[in-house]
This record gives sequence, structure tokens and C-alpha cells, in this order.
Amino acid sequence: MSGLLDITNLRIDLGQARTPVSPVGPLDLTLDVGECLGIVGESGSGKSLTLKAILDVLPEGLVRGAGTLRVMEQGKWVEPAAKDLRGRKIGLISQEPGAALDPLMRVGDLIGEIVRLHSGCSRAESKTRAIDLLRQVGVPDPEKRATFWPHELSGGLKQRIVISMALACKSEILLCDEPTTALDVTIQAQIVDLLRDLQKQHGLGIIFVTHDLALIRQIADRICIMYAGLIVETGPSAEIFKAPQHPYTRALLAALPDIEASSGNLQPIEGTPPNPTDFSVGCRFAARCALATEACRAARPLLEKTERGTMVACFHAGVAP
Amino acid sequence: MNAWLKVENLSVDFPVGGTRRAPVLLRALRSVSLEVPKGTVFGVVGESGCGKSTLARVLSGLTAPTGGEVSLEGVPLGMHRSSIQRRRVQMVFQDPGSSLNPAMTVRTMLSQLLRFHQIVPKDRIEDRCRELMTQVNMPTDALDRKPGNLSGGQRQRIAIARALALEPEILIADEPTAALDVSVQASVLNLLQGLIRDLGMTMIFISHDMAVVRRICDHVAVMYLGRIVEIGKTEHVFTDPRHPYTNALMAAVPRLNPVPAGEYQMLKAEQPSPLANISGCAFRGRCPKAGSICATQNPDLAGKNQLVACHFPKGGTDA
Repeated sequence: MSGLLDITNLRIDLGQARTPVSPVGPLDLTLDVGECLGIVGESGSGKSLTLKAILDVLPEGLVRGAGTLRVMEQGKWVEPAAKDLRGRKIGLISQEPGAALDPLMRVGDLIGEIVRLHSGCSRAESKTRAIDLLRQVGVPDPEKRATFWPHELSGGLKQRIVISMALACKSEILLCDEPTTALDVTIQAQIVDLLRDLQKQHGLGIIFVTHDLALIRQIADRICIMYAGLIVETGPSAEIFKAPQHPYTRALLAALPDIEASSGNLQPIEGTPPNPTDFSVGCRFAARCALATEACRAARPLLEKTERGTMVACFHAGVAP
Repeated sequence: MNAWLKVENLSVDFPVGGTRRAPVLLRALRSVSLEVPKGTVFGVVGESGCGKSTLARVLSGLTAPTGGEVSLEGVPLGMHRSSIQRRRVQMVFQDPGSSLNPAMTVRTMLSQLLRFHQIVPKDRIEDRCRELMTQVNMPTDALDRKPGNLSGGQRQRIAIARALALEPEILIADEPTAALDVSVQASVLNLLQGLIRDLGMTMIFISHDMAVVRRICDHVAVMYLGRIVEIGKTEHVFTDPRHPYTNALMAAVPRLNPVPAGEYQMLKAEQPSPLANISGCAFRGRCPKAGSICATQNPDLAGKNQLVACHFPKGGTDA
């Protein structure tokens, strides 16, 4: 497989703090052509911030403190400015599709405008291209729907429109920030199906951020588990779900109710994730971890390769709890 | 099932526009009937807009029904309840951030309730507050905090404590864990399960998360567009869904162990608007099995153990 996106040593800093505070990182991410990378974590783990840092749209006060971001451009790694990536190479699909659509434009015009901007074709031609794109993302009756206003569409259809806008930009990378959280489960399944089809047909690279472990199991080829701003475990999705090595990954799975099972106890994770201002020098999960020892509190474990082809950041990786 | 809490032909219409003479109605509930046996956990699942939250609100007396009746032990429970009736049914809402008063400490919140309803003598109020905190696994020093200083999971525990303060017989939980992380969700679910078992309460559990419902409910009703389409023991409904909609829901639920293709059928379209006039079966537009009878005749809930509202249920109409 060929690479598409390569991020090394990414760190997000709190701008004004006197002592440096980094809610996220340092972390490395890579994405291949036609691959879906899943990032899972609880709220506050920094998974959404990571996506925002890629597009350089971090909330005020936060800055990208370090890290290089390279993308593959005609067989060569280049390091472009974020403004050349946004809306071109990289598209963003957010949790709230309504916020991504201009409420004062009909959806056909919304997509047509992007098509014109990128290809410089005529108004009439952009209109037919827009309808074609709507058909590609599975909008029923696209000729009629193109004349609708965003508020006339359901959540699922809005999300499809946003996806078609990313396709109109000829994006090669889709960043999906919890794109199905606001949707019903039957619609979620349809959107996940659509994303998978596009991934196959167009060779799209997708980074899919969610807190739903079962959903990530369905869609991602490779996953990163994030905790308190760091990746604690990463590797092929099937391997990680078969034999999770990090105590946090295991704890997450033990806390998850499974549709197949009606009995057995759910194991909550006691305590709360640390605040970015209280990050210790040691392992950030140590305070909630049953396996934690002095060594864990003294130094932070780094990601290391295991024989299963995954990478884990834990001194006690693989030890049965 | 022996009827204890009974809902009969319950309908709720909300006027959302039009004129006074010809209002446009959003039909949130369309003739819903169900019975909940005492001491069980009854789940209600469905997609947004299917009327599950409206059902919860009618049960707790927050929304007036347009037709039909809710009764507890044969006594009707309407909008206007005596304080004793109100005590019997309590509710836990989805978002503890907005259902708790941000200006009150937990102690004020709880002691106000205990005093108003005269549940314990005045000198016992402080003790009872502490007891309630222990019941929901919270340290007693949290009594002096305000909701703003508590985490999401802790707030939901306080909301549960507030409901428990009135010693209710029925606890209505409307998506109590939807706003929580999975690690915290587990502790709140375990807490609710333990309380139901120890205090012998009945719980109505509203959720869109099938895995959670599977875990904690004894009986489950599946709703679609204001109607119940399938109802029965959770075990049966989830392992052998008879209605095509329940089947499709099971297909759509993300799983850790992917199921073999073909076991369940995916849905194509989306749920129609609750504003629409429906003739026949509400699900027929999306149903893979729909026939001509479905367009004209609304199927009734029928069956022996696992009731299903479908003209062509899996296993035949007599199963």
C-alpha cells in the first residue's frame, strides 16, 4: 500500500500557559490510500483536537506546538500549508451536518458552487455535476432534492450532502469526526456503508473518530486507542479486538455492553481521566490501572512493537489482570 | 403478565401549525397499549421520533394524553396527581446537566424534597440525605457541592438519588446514559440494576441503545412512528425478532463480533415524518415483505408470548 498522510511528533499546546501544557501528544499517525484509520477514546482524550490540528482549525488558545504533517502529492512527500489542504486534499465531515451547510443556499447550489470553484466549469454544467454527485452518495430522487433547502432534509440526508461536498472537492482524505453520533442506528448503518463504498471505489483514505468501539470494529482497518492525549495502543483492528494488550483497551471492552450477551457483569473504570494540567511524568492511566507499579508512576512507557503486529505503550502489556 | 401498570390506547397529538380549526398535528403516539408487571424492568426502544420519550413523559404526568389512559393498580394516573400519586412515579432525565438546578447544593435539593413530601421527620432529614448518597455510591461530602462541580456520571447519580428520595415504586429512566462515556455508563447501569433488585422497584427504561436494553431489561417494546410493533421478553425479541423492523434494527447495531451476511436485512429508506398521514402499516415504505394488504390495513398487535404487529411476521401469524 502507498502512503497518503504522514504525521510525526504532533503536539498541541495551550498557548498562553506559563508552564507548557500539552493536552495532546506527542503522537504519530499514518494513513494509506484506501485505508480507514479509526481513533477511539473517551470524551476529552484529544481525538477531535487531533483532527482539528491536521486542518489547523484548533479552537482559540490552542496551537500546534510541534510536529510535521506530510501528504503524498504525485509520488512525492510534500509538506503543504494547512490552507492548501482544507477543502482540497482533505475534507471534513463533522458530527453536526447542519452546521456545515449554508442555510441560505439550496443544496444543489451548495455543491455546484464547489464544483465550479474546483473545475471552473459553467453554471449549467455544475448543476448536472451536482446532481450526479448527489446520486453517487445515494440521495434518492436527486433532481428534486437538489432544489431543497438544508432545513428540509433529515439528518441522514444532510450528512450525505456533506459527504458529496467533500467528493466535489476531489478530496483524497476524509476526516470524519463522529459523523453518525446524531443519527439513528439504521441511518448510521447506511452512512457507514456509503463511506465504505467510497473508500473502495475512490481509494479514499478515511480517519474516523468515534467513542463507539463496536462501530469502529465495523469500519476501521487499523485503530488507535487514545487516552489523555496519547495513543496507548494501535494496530490492525482485528488483532486489537481479538487480544487487547493495554489495560485501558481491556477496561474499555469490559465496560461495553454487547448486544450478543444478556448476562455477565459490566466493569466500569473507576476514577476519571486526568486534566491536561495534571499530567504526570509517568503513565497517564496509572491512577486508574490495576496493574500500576512504581515504574509506571516514575516514567512514561512509549509505544513498542508486539509480536502480534500491534504497538502498545505499557510496561505490563499483555499481562493478564 | 399480570397488569399492574397499564397503558390503554394512549394517543398524543401535538399541534405544530395550521389553523385552530384545521391544525397540523404531530402524532407522537398512535394508540399505544402495554402492561408492565410489578418489579420488572421494561424497556422501550426505537429511533428518534418514534414517541418513546413522549410515552415516558405521559407516564410521569408531564405531558397530557390526547386519548387513552394510564392506570396503576386500576386507578387512573392523569396529568393532575395528588402528591402521593406523584411520589409513586419518578423520572430520571437524559441530561443531568439541565435537569439539576445549578444554583442548589445537592443537600438543598434533597432536603427540600424530603421536607415537602414529609418523608422523614425533620430531625432525620440529614441522615436520610447521607443514606441516599451511600445508595448511589457517592461520598457524603458531595452533599455540599453544586452540580457544576460534579462530573457527568456523578450528576446522573445525584439525579437518581433525587428520584429515590421520594421512595417511588416506578422509576422512569429516559436515556439515562446517553450523555455518558462508556466507562461511566457501565457504573450507572450497574447502579440502576442494583437499586431495582434491592428496592423492588419497577423501571421503565427508554433507550435507543439496543445493547444496553438487552443488558438490563426483562421485557421490551419496540416502537416505530408512534406505534408498538413488537413486544415481549427481551431474550425472545432480541434473539428471534419477528417483526421486519426489529430485524432491521438488529442488523444496524454495530457489533464487536460481526454477524454472517444475510442473517439480518438492512433498511433502505428513512423513517417517514411523524406529521404524515399514515394509512395501513407505518413501516410498509421500508419493509422488504410489504404486500397489498399492508397499504390498507394497519396490523394489530397479536401473538401468544411475543406480540407482533405485522401481516407477515417471521414464523407465521400463529406463532
